[in-house]
Amino acid sequence: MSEEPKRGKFRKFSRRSFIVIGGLGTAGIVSALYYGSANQGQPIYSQGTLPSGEQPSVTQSVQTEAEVIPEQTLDELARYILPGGPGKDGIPAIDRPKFISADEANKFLSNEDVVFGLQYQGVVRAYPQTVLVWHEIVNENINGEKITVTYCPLTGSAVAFKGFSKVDGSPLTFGVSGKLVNSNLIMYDRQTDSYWPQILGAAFMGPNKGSILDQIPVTLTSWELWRKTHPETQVLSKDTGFIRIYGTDPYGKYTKDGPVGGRYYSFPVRLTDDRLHPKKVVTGVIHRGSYLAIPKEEFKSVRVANTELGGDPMVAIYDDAEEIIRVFSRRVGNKELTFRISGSGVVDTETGSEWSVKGEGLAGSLSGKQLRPLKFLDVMWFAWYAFYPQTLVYG
Amino acid sequence: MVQSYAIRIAETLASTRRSLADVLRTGRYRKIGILTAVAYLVVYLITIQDIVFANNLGRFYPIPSVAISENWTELIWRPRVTFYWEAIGQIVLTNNVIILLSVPNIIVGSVLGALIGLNVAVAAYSYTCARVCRVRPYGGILGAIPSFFTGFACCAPTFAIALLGGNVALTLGILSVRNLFIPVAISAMVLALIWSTRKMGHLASRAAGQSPT
Repeated sequence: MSEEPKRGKFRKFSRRSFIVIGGLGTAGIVSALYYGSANQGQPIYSQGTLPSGEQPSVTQSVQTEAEVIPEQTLDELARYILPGGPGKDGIPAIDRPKFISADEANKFLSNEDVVFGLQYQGVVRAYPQTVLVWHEIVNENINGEKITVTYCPLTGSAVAFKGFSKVDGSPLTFGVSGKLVNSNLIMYDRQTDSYWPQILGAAFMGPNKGSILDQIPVTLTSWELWRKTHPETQVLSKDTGFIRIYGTDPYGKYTKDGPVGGRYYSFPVRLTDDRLHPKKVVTGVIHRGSYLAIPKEEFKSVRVANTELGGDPMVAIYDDAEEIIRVFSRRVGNKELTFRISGSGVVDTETGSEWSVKGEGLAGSLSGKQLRPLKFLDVMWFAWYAFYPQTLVYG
Repeated sequence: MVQSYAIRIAETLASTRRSLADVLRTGRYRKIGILTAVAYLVVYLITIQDIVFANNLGRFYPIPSVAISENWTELIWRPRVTFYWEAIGQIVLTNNVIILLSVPNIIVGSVLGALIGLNVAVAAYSYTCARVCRVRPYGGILGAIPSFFTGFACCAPTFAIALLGGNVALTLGILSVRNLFIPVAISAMVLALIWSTRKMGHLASRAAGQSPT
């Protein structure tokens, strides 16, 4: 008799308690999620919006000698921003890179390991893919100049940049925003938090919108070939200040040709084209608002191609030593040259001068001259097309 | 009003704590709880890839070796994604096994492991108690069922990440779901523990009523 009311009271008490505990739990979940997202450092701009106070211009366009990117293209691209998973700086850029000698690097690099080679201001450096795949960005200081070496594993593109903020003229350094567009890394500059897709090399959101970075060519090659051609090279150390399992690839078999989960790429892209296999590596050339994709593997047998881009004569030359395509203007002074293969180099038909694959005049009347290199980068076809649908395809 | 709720919550938690103390006083259930917690922690660290099985680690690291990052104070609380933090050190055990040391990741795994261990210990206790006392043998274990579900809910996404390997989009999708599962699983397991210890109390009182005198 005395137990019944007690049991009823216990039930009532328990239900209320559970409601309160449940409420506290929910509050805990909400605060935990808030904490988590706050710590990820979410970008200050949401998809397709501009930072507060900035009004979109309808007439402004991005223009350099080499290219023109209309304002509408930038805005259109900005509508396709997607979260890539890790938050801002979740993939940490290397800000204090250390370098080691080729001999030291030999202890952990195999001949077939991919490296990104950089030659700038007399400095020769290699950045192993197995290190860069975990960081994507290295902020460098070469002879007092701030430059940034970047690699996007999802599009296979490696480019180095140099640029200045249009807000205060300060040299730019970059971090990984955690966002993607056309599957491509979006960098953010630490000075103004503007967003820069790596393949575009131009800011499409934020105070620096419309600015274009100076591109410094990066050679995507094997460690064996790079070491052979540049024995003096310095190599980015795996002592990056972060704990990562270098030697493993977080993207697994993504870079191979075969589809992953029934798809060739992991994030949606704005436009697709089936002229080439989506993952085929092309050397993309940009010149005066015109674009050309040269399938790298097929070009090995062609070796030299004289063509035109953006109304200017250009030549593409295959460099066997580093297994890359180099692209130059065919104009030297007031002469327009036509090149053909000759031994390990090339010869121009007009003067009979001999040239190296690096565009250096070696012998003949144009000895000592240097062909002017054009902007190019190696990239997977699907990403190149998604950014530059007006591109021509060589072959 | 708020004060009375606070008192009731405190009473409920105190009662749960007493019941857990009763369970853990018995060596057998304590062992079950600890083993489950440790096993879960190991599985958790494997699924979030803080314990990694790889090839040719010897190319990159001395074996065996332990290393702590020079700037560990900068990294220790730095998140990579929600509920996943930077490692501050590494232990390379063999050419194929490496353990990343991340303090917050170990704390999260330990909290989840402890909750699952406690739920399993309570379930084992309830099951034995019900059988010995000839009260519906499976009645007591019902209390632990939610903990299994929540434990699975927490583990499944991380397992899926490990299994999906190369599929970045799917992995990232699961990662975002996982962000929800960890706080949900912790809350649900706490509630399940309170519920199952209550069931255990009922079971014990019913058993006391039925037991021969």
